Amino acid sequence: MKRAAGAVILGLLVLVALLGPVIAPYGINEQERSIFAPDAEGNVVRVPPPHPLSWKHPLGTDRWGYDVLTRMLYGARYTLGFIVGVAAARIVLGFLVASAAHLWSHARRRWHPHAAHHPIGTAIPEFVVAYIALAGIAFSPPMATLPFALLQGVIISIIGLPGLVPTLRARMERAAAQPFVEAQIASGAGSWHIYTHTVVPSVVHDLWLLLSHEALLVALVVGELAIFHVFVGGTIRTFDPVEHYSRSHEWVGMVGENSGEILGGIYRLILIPLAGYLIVVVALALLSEGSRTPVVRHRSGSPLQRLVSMFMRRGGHHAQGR
Amino acid sequence: MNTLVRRVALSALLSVTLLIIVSMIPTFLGIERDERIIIIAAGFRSSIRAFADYLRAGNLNRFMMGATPRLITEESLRFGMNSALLIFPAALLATLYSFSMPLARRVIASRAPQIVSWLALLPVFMLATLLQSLALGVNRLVGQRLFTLAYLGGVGTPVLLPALTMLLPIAAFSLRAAEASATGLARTEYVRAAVGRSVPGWSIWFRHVGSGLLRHLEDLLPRTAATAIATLFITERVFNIPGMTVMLTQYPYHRYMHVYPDRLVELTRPDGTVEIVSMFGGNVRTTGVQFQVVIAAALALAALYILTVLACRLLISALRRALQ
Repeated sequence: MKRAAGAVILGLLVLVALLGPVIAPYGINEQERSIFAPDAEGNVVRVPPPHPLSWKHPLGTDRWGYDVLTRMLYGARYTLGFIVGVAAARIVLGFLVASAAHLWSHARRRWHPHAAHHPIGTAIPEFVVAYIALAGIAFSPPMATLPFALLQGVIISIIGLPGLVPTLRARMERAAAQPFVEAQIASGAGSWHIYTHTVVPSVVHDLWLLLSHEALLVALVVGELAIFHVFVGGTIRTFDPVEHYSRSHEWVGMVGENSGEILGGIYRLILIPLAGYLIVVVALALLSEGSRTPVVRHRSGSPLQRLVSMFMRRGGHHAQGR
Repeated sequence: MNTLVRRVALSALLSVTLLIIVSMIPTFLGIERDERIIIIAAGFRSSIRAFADYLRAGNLNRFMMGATPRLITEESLRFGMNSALLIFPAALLATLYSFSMPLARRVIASRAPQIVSWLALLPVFMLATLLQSLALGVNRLVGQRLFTLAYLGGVGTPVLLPALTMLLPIAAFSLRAAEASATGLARTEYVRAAVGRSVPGWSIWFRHVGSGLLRHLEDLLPRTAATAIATLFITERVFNIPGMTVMLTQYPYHRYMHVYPDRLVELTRPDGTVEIVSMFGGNVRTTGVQFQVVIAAALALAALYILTVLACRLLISALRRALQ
């Protein structure tokens, strides 16, 4: 049920991402700098942006007069594409590295199960490591948005590997430690045969499960980086005054670029994209929790509590491994 | 205890090493404007040269922030203290809360853990942003500045909102583990025996289950401290508190002074415009990383992490003594 709900929400979001530029009411660079509207006394006065919610601008405009709905529709591609793409890249890379480590350790007979079951994490959260790696290149990069997003994706994928690989490796080892594998070894099966016929098939299901987990994790990292003004596809930084803008208009980037607006009291510029981001996170959390159900059968607590515990396991403690 | 020390020390060492390695990435990915992208190591070479110069001069305590020289020890102490004032109370209160709440829930019914779990559903930055919005709403409603929303210089430092932002995720994280642990401990033989001997409920929970729970919380300390560090960065950023976040995310980079791609220097040197460019910071792309700052920040962070674990460990020891 949860998996279906998550898939439906995510499906709708993908549809929005695909059709976004087509159904957007305005062009991405169309601005409405000022409008003329009657004030309380009936006098027509010039009103500068940000314009409030109206039929013309269902989600209002930002302080430069750009339509928020249009920006969100354009930004949906980068929001979802980046999260899912990086998660998939992590899974593929993690699987390859874990497989290599698994085969290597079996060839050298150096496998120590405790190493994978009790990974030593670091004190540094993943987004800080990502920030340190990206901060020197993410501000006003001369690269186009998409190539820079790809470069960012590669870096964030690699940074996530130390947490993912031990998990995958432990699962591979568990698969290889089943009693019937002993029988296979006794019958003369080699490491490669056991890997291809036993380990890989049993880990494939876990890969799907981990994909939604990783997507959730990447969503959190992207959100946290945005708070530090490192946006997907690079950050436009202006001087005098110092401002930061997202080039790709990803939703959480819109939160980051408007983070100062809370003090100005214009909540909606933050809360609207934040709501969009929250929908993505909830969809991924539902998918992740739904995928977990067949694996973990005996669980206690309400569905919300389980969702909370899953969320807490993954969020904010990235550097600790799994 | 030995295992705990080993794990914490290894985590701190890994943190320092990881930060130093990762900080080199921007120096290798220096970017120039005239080309689409040039992967060059000019920034790395310059950074290493600068680091070697500092090393030769025996002056690793110095670094540049813009055009201003600063001392690493002074800055580390200043920022470290601000961070410590946030992280220690939060970690200690969260540990205390995680210990007392699973037990208190069994003695007096309470819905507090559920409320904390609800709030913990939100990512930290979202929680902080929502708390800020809520506080602003309250300020407007009462027409007074009841809550300070962010540090904007001067004397108005936000206390309550950052403290809540710090406390809730850490408390929710350790509480979840503590709840599971308390449930497991309640099923153990010695607790059943105590129930069979009609020992009072509060005594069973606080003396029998409580001591076992403290052991679990102690095992959890490295992760609790790591969670606290993760929350610290977001909290400091959202509430604009000058702490380790500034030290780690802004001070290592030396973008606009002294370090330029060779070709840019050649282009601009004859008429001295390089200084103008550096002053306005507009078009100089290559990032110089001041490795001495990275090392100092990483060490300060590791120290903060170890001290957080130790502070919580002391609290657990005190609780254990109180229960005996």
